[in-house]
Amino acid sequence: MTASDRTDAGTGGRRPEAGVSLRPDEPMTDELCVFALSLVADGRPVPAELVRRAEAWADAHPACRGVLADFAAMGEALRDLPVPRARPGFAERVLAARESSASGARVLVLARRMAVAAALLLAFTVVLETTHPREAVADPDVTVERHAVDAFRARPFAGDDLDAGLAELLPDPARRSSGAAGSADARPGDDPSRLDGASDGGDTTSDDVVDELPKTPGEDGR
Amino acid sequence: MNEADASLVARIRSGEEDAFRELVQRYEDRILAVVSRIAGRAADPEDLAQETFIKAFGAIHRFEGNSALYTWLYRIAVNTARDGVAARLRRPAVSLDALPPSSVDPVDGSDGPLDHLHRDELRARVRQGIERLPEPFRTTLVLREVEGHTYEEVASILGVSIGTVESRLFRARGKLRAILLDGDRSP
Repeated sequence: MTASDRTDAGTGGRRPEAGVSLRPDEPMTDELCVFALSLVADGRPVPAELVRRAEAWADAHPACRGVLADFAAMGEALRDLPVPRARPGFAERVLAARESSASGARVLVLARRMAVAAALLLAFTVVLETTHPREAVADPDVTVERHAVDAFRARPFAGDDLDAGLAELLPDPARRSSGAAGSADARPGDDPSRLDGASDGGDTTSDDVVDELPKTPGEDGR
Repeated sequence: MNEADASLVARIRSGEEDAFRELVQRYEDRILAVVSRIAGRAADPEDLAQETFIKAFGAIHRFEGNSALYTWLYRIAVNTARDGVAARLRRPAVSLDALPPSSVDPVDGSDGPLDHLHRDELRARVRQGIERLPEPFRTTLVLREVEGHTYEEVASILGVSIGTVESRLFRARGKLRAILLDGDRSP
């Protein structure tokens, strides 16, 4: 189909762009007849041969003309609908709303920027802490609350060193010194004098040691 | 875009207050008309028109001038009206299944079955019927029949092809006719 095959009535001389591709030899039906003739009524390009066949079909099927008449009546009624008009002062209302909207937008932008800054700060902190972890050091107030078993570990996460721990706790100076010498984990804060005289001088078992453990402030009532 | 619109756009972009006022005053009636037809009673047309102009102002720096200014404004208005309806209803105006099924079926007689209706009665029924039309048929019919846009303009506003406009318009007319005939048969 070429452009010259199409009708272009009702478009003010401007050739409309092609729309639905309709073949001239398309089998005619009531629906196609109404579709094609309604396009023609709107000045749309329709193959001339198809228009001729649709007209012939409509002549033979008056009901199709009825549908087209209804379409025309509806179109007229739609065009006759009352046109709403903006109330006086509508432009001022829009300008005021735009101002309000602009200030709201400024607050939103500020809030957004603050949220972004907070997120960046958080991300920076997480990265910094992850890449440069600081040594975990207990608060001095906490370190005061020591238990005897603390003697078995030089640091909170170190393995148990029973020899060093027992040497630290036992009253025997010779054993203690040998134990302390065997361990580099001797704790400067511990006060072994608190165990002096607590032993009967015989073989000391771990149970004895536990019995001799220094009391924490909470346990001895102090 | 014609020179007057191009100049107006340039003035708005430069921050001239009166230019935006001029834009609103130039198009307020047309925008109000189209949003009121599309949204019907689902939303306040003035609110929708106002939202349209504020959106246009916010997006004016993105307007490239490939289409007429009013086409661009209509596009914003149509989308705003659709969003307004969707936000209000959160459901289609009427289910496609609820529509009378046969919309372009001819009936006996060459006169249209709607011919017997008085002009005012037909207008009132059409006014109600168009609100029952589902999207996108309502918008297409409004832009073509009520607003009088060409098929090319309707296609540009809706961002669809000409063929789609032709097809939608034909179906919209058929559905509206079916609604009117259905109402005619109702007691």
